[in-house]
Amino acid sequence: MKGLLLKDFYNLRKQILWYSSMLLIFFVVSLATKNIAFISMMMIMITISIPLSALAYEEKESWQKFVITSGLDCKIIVLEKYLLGIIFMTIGIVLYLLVFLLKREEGLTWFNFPLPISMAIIAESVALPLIFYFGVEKARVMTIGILFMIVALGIGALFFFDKITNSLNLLLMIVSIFLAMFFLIVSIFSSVRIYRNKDF
Amino acid sequence: MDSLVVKNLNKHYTNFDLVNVSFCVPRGAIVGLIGENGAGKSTVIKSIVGAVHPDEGSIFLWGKEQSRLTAAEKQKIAVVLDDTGLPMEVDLKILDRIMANIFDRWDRRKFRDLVLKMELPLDKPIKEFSKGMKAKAAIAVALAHDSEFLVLDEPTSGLDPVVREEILDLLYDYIQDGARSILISSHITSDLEKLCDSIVYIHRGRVLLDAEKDSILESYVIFSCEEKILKELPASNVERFIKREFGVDVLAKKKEIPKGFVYRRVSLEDIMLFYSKGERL
Repeated sequence: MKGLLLKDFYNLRKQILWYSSMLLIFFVVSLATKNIAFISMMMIMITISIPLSALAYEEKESWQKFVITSGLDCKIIVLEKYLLGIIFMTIGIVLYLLVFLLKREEGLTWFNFPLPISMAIIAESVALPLIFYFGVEKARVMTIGILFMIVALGIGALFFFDKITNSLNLLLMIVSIFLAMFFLIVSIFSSVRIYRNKDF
Repeated sequence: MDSLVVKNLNKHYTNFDLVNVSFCVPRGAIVGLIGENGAGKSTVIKSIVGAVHPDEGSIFLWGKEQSRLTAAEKQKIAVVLDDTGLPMEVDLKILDRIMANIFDRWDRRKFRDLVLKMELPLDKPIKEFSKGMKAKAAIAVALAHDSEFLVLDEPTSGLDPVVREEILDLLYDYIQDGARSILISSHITSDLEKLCDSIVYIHRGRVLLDAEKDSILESYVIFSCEEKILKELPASNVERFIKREFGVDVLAKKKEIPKGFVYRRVSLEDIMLFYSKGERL
């Protein structure tokens, strides 16, 4: 796992720098506008984009064909991509947390905090099996579609939050966390299965 | 014990079928897989290393079914792919660090020695390497993790003769201890003619020939004659023939050559040519 992560970090140095800059810009914009939508949207995007870029390189370089012959278990190869997304999501969460602490809009409570994180996990959970199955080129369009849908849902939810009661917010929080966990588990199992049966 | 046994391997694709491919690689031997582009060599190699799932058939490595090999046993197979499979954005120093975390028995000193021996730059991203340098880097990776069976898919394709010779020397070194084996596919038959103990010739997804190299080169000869003379020869004497503008070229078993015919030795390239383009009598 460590070797795979190292490979992705070194291979994606330029992309990581670019996405980190974008994350910082969106962080500043969120602070300036007192709007968590910007940083949460970027957090969701980075959670998908980094593993997508890593897999795009792997396809171009035939790394997947190489690594499958290295004796590493398919589970480890697949889990590394989930972990890669989650590592960058975590960096996004830190910045999102700062905005939430310092400059969140009125009406938003801590019950609303987990929703963008759940959305990022769901986005990754839907995108990765598609990428493993269809390959990066075919799955890229689908992934962009998923990203738009999730961002639209998120923005809609933000408008919705300040109009509902705390008890409903609590319920939404619990449902979103369970949904994210459910998607993640099903997604990992599906991806491992896809990867195991794939011809390279 | 054989390092590799492939039995009745079948794989169906829309435009191509691999049909009942069987052969073995004895311990300590170098076996060459030859065939035209698209003959099925890469599919066979990918099946052996687990990158392709055959529809039918079995693959045994050191007597154990490939699907049952443990991670440690799988790492005793070293693989060099035609497109290297290495991360292109990193240099060899970083690649060394990456591989040390992938292969349990990665030998950092050996890798550095190989890189020095091959005169590869340590600080240059692999994407800036020439084709020959990339091939050498892939071989250095394959040789640096204490493997017992080396599988190479077209490692010398597109390389100049000097680099090809250097690669062949590394392969000779690898096999020296007598316990290791090599399976190498190539359509550059002259390389395999120098290197291999046995040859497996695959044509349109089927094994046409599986024999010791020396026996192939000693058993067959080529001669030219007029078409009417060819028709007078017993069919069993003629392996394949190719019609030319003036007469025919005939591939025949040496011991069955009629007296008085002037013949020449065959090369593996001739064998491939006659089997793929030639006709039977």
